[in-house]
Amino acid sequence: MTRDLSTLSITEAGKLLRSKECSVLELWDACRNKAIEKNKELNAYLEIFKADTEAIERAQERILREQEKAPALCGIPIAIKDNILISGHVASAGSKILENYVAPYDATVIKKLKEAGALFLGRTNMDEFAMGSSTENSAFGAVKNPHDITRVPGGSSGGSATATAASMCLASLGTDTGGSIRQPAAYCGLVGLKPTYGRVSRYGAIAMGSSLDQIGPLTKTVADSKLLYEAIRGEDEMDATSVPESLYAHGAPKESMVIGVPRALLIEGVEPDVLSTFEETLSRLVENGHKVVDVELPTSKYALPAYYVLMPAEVSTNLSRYDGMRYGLAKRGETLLDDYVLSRTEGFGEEAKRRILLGTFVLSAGYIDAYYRKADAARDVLRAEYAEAFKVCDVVAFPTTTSPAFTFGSKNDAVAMYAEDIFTVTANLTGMPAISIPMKTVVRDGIELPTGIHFTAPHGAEETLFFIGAKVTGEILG
Amino acid sequence: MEVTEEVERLAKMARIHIPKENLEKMALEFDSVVAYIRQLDELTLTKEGGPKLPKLHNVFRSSERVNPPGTWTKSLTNLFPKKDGDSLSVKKILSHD
Repeated sequence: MTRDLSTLSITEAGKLLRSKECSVLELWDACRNKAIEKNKELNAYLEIFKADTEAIERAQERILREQEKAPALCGIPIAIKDNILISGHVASAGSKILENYVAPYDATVIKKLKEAGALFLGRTNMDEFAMGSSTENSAFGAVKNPHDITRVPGGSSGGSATATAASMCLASLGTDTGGSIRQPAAYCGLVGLKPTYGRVSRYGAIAMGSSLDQIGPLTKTVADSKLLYEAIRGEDEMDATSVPESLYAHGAPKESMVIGVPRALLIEGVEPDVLSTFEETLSRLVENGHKVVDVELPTSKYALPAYYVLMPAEVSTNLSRYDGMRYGLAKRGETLLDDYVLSRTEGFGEEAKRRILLGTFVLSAGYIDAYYRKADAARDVLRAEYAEAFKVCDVVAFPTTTSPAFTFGSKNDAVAMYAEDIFTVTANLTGMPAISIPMKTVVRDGIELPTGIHFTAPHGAEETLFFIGAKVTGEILG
Repeated sequence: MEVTEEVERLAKMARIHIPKENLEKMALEFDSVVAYIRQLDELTLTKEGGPKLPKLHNVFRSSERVNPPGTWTKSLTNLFPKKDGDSLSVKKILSHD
């Protein structure tokens, strides 16, 4: 075996494991060694796990015994974002306040992956509590983009994206509250899927914005994204917001897709070469028998301000549980109030504090109608506008981001950083599934940098996203 | 310094201390984000139909014990910063003085 096993996709590795061209242990070692070798420079992992020899042996035996019937993820080394609980391992959510928090149970997605025989390489770095678009907000140092280490990998799932793109694992899980899977996928040249809200259980995911958060895969190919999504999806009695399969019924994707493009939203702000790469990708799809139409989504221009009302409101509520009493960082002062204030002040980073204050503000008497309730009402309007658009198209397309990955420290004011989510937040506000697929690269400072095309589909239509995604990458899905 | 006072008031409610030397910077950032979200003032929404309920809503688990007593006790009490047996120790907040 001359090929570096860590560079394989899940699909390729599965074939080699079944044909006995490599063993589960060889695959694990190749990924783990690569992770150790590159982590000093890239800081993608907060912790690289030791080999679970029993799990590796079990996976190997299962593949030998069940061959093609063994789950596709059996024996596959995967990286997990640090806000998804793996029993017995630290889950810090990139925060000092949870630095020593050991997960007492498995998240439902982890339970499902364990049942499928997947192996966990480690927990990946992230913006604190998933608040950020660059992974510069981690309490444990920024993550670097493997395509250019002077640039960010995106965020908040930047550790998962870098680990996958740098072959420090075969695939990873991230979470997406406003674009935290899709934006780093675009910046690192990966496929990133935010599933329909409720299609994947959030049980065991450390909450940021509970009406927005979803767990999803970051992968090298569309086929891998589909495999990982299939493995983690499903209604869960432990998550009352998870939905039954029957809630959103769709037929098989159409062979010829109609792609809606909201041109009015692309007039300003997108860098010219990213826009031309987007247009070129659309042209290729048209050449291959698909159709592009204009769609109107006028309220989308208010999606980002609405998101920056709703998300901090949920952040301030969710993060009120961290008080230094039952778990996490515990600082002690003279009074019980001192204990709360000291623990929270020392435990939270600047961005977490900023969003807690903003959330406290928008939920205050006197402002709740002007901001929170209005933003919540805007969600209904956005859903209605998308529903109208989906009467004339199968998917809506944008570039995932306005530019390729930016350099460290270049977005040092909060609003400029928040604008990173401009095309991605709407799918979280509406609950619709969305995917970022690699397009051609653009050049900055003499280095080729990845870009992504973003597709949104109606609730429950992930198959449509995989179908159109595979048309962009040229994959043939099984 | 109205914004600075507002930030101080919010921080107090959120049980966070912002040191004096950081307060002005935090207030400036806070002000710029609030100015940004004020774009929502331009959005006119009709009251037609009112809030829409999602297809699936108010799903509750039945209130029944799903784990035998003690299943999680050790793993949860191990996380307590300070404990007395299986009990969480916190500061006394009531006094007879």
